[in-house]
Amino acid sequence: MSNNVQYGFFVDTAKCSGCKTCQVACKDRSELPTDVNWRRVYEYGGGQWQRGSDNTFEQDIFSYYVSVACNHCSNPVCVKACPTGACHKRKADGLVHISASVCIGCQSCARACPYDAPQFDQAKGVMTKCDGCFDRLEKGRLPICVDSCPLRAIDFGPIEELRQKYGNNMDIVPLPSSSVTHPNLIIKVNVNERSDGRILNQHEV
Amino acid sequence: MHAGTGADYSFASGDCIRRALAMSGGFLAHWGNYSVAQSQVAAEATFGHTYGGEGSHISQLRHSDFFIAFGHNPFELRMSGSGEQYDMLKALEHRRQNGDINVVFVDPRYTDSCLGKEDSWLPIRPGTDAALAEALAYQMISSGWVDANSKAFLDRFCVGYDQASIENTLAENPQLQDKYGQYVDPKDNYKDYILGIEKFAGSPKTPAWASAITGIAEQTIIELADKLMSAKAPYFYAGASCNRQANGEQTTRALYMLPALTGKLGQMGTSNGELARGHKLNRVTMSVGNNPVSEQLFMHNLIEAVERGETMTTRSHSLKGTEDLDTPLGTNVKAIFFAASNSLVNQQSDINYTKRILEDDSMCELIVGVDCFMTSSTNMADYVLPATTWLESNDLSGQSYNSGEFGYINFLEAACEPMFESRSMYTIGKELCEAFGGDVQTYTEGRSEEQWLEHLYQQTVAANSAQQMPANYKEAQKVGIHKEFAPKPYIALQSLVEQNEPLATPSGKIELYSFSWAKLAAERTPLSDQQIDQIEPLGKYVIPWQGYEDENTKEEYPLQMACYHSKGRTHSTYHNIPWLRQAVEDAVWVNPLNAQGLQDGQMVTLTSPTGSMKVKMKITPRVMPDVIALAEGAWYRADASGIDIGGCLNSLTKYHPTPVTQGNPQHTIRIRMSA
Repeated sequence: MSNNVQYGFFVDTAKCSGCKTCQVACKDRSELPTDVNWRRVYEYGGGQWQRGSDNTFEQDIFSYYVSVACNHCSNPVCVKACPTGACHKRKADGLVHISASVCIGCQSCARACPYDAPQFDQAKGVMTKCDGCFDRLEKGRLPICVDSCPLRAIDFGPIEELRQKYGNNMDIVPLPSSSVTHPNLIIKVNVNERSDGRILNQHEV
Repeated sequence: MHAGTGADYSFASGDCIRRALAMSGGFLAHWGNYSVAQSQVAAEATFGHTYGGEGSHISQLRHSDFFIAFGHNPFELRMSGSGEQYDMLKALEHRRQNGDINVVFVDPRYTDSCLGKEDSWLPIRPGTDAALAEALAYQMISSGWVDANSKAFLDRFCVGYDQASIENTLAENPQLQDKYGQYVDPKDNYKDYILGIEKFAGSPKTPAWASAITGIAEQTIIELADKLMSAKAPYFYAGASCNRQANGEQTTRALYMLPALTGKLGQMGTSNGELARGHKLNRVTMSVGNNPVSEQLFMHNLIEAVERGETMTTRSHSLKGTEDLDTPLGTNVKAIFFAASNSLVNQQSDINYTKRILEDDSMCELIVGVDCFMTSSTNMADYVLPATTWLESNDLSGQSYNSGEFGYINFLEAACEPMFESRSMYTIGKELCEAFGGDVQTYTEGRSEEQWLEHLYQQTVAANSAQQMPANYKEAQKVGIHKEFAPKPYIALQSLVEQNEPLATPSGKIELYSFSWAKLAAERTPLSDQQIDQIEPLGKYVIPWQGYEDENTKEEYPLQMACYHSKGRTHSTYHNIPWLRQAVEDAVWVNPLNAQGLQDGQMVTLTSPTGSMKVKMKITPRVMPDVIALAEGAWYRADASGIDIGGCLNSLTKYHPTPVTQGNPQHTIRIRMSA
């Protein structure tokens, strides 16, 4: 791992089928409680149905999935919101971490983050979040969400390298505008992208 | 001895329990399966393929310009990183970059196989795919397209398209005439049936006719037929969900007619509608040994055999191994063993019927389950024998029955010793054999576990002579996995079309008219005189009980239910893992048009003619109106009043075996939904 780089994620929403392997592999690696998702997958969709007089149907239904974890933002509003300094951005790799021993569990970071990345661990009484699998990176491996993805829809690396490979787009409905936090995230946009749908799986995220 | 696929290993699998029973006096074995029984017999009748999975490699989509999938959803069904899902994604990506392909998914749900990979999604009412197929055929035939483009193919490679083809085929083949002639009426031909002429006068299978049944607009069907006729290399896929219906045998046959009708089979980029063939490495498994009981029961009939096995015959229930059509099984089933399986209760049609039979100790006196989980089936057992998990096992496992074009064998290495009282299924079988006073020496063949693993490994090596594999089992365990991607492409029916190799059908041709089913119709007693219970030699749209057009149930149960495989478990396996339940919620999908006055996430009660359940509701536009959708495999759990609160869809399904193979019709359900 080289010093003073900024790491980030790439997510291909054209490939992603919403299988949640990334989400569950993440929980497995970090032994997370059932209701804590460091990575989660939004199911976004909509469209209209028209019933014809002959009881046939016309429709323009669409859907796609967006897998998102912490984007280790260049403007990490969670770090700014943290009253204790527990939530901090690491110089060497740009990953945003929370020091459990310093965190007081006030959840200010969670309220600040538009991506819902910091997650409260009820049993431990502290905030937790995606740590970029820093221990795996030290061993030259990729984060578990990347390696587990059956469709090879997630990538991770120095963000400048990823941008050369995948471009600069950081936005897709229903994620918040990238202008707020400057996420280190690149999105390949699904051909189905529209803004007139809704998140269909509120109970899974 | 009931089926189970939960531990598909070479050494310590359910076959060890079968082996123990075989060495201890014998047992009633089963044949067939829940998954693809109807499509298997349809493929056998049409193409002579008994497995039903002899469609072209899915990677042939790289050469196709038209892909139509009926009720096929690999991105939820086969979602591995080396399986059919991935093969299909890569093939479509490649084709989109190097040519053009029109991708059409026909399904009541906007599935995860769509999500932008499709050119069009055609929502269709469950159980009506055959009507769509017939309307497409009508367009192809009535327009003169078949006469101009594929008649020569039909005349050469198929039988049943028209009256002359049936008459000529019988005339050319005296043996065929002798065996089947008396059962055959050449007026029962496909062309007359579709056009609604001659014997079928007055009922042409027009797009307008199909539109009212399927819910797909007439103009859409006409345009789809135009695309089909202009395709150079159409790839057809009749998914297994079409087969798991009350009319599944007929629906699958009706879908298989289309690829034949295009006349392009055997060419690159095409497929015949069967499930895509995968690539397999061979793996030798523990032999069941010599079972003295010759009779076999179709697996879906087990519970019924507890009640009336004594009188069941081949004529009534498609038994195998009986002396003749009318020799009965002669006994009711009194004891049931099941291993690595939650199918006894959870995956069998009509749980309320199953429970009533199994809970009556005067009927089934003994139930023994072998598993590593306590499931809704082991809850019904008198004895539960705890088996080791994969973590405690040295064994060989493989690519199962369909993992795309990537074949492999895993060499498992135990991470720990068996915990608590658990034992491997091999040891359980051995101890059962000892307790029964069976032939333990023949069971073990004098081998230790270690020697068995080496023995099975060496046989496996010998069965893969083209492969370079490690010298012994210990070495193989160090490697962990042996794998191979399919070395050469496979195109369905290429050998028929290019080498003129006859098929294993009675005529050697693609049988649009099935001679074997014409004969079978005379050898079986139908469940009723309704059309749905008849065996018909022509693939036809048949109105199923509890189907869209079923007059008996449509008023009281206004919704149809589509069932699908959840991404959150494999059938019922791992339903007990909380992370998976959180990741993929079990909730019934309801279209906004059917959800007036209801809230997303609230509980609803679903009632079918056979039972009821309480389940969470998800309002989503991804299921068509008047159809609700529920994933299979959730574990049955009844509340005090007998209503299922576990969400197992077999609380709602009907036990009503299909006419050709006694197959399970679990996707045919009508529902009344209330808050």
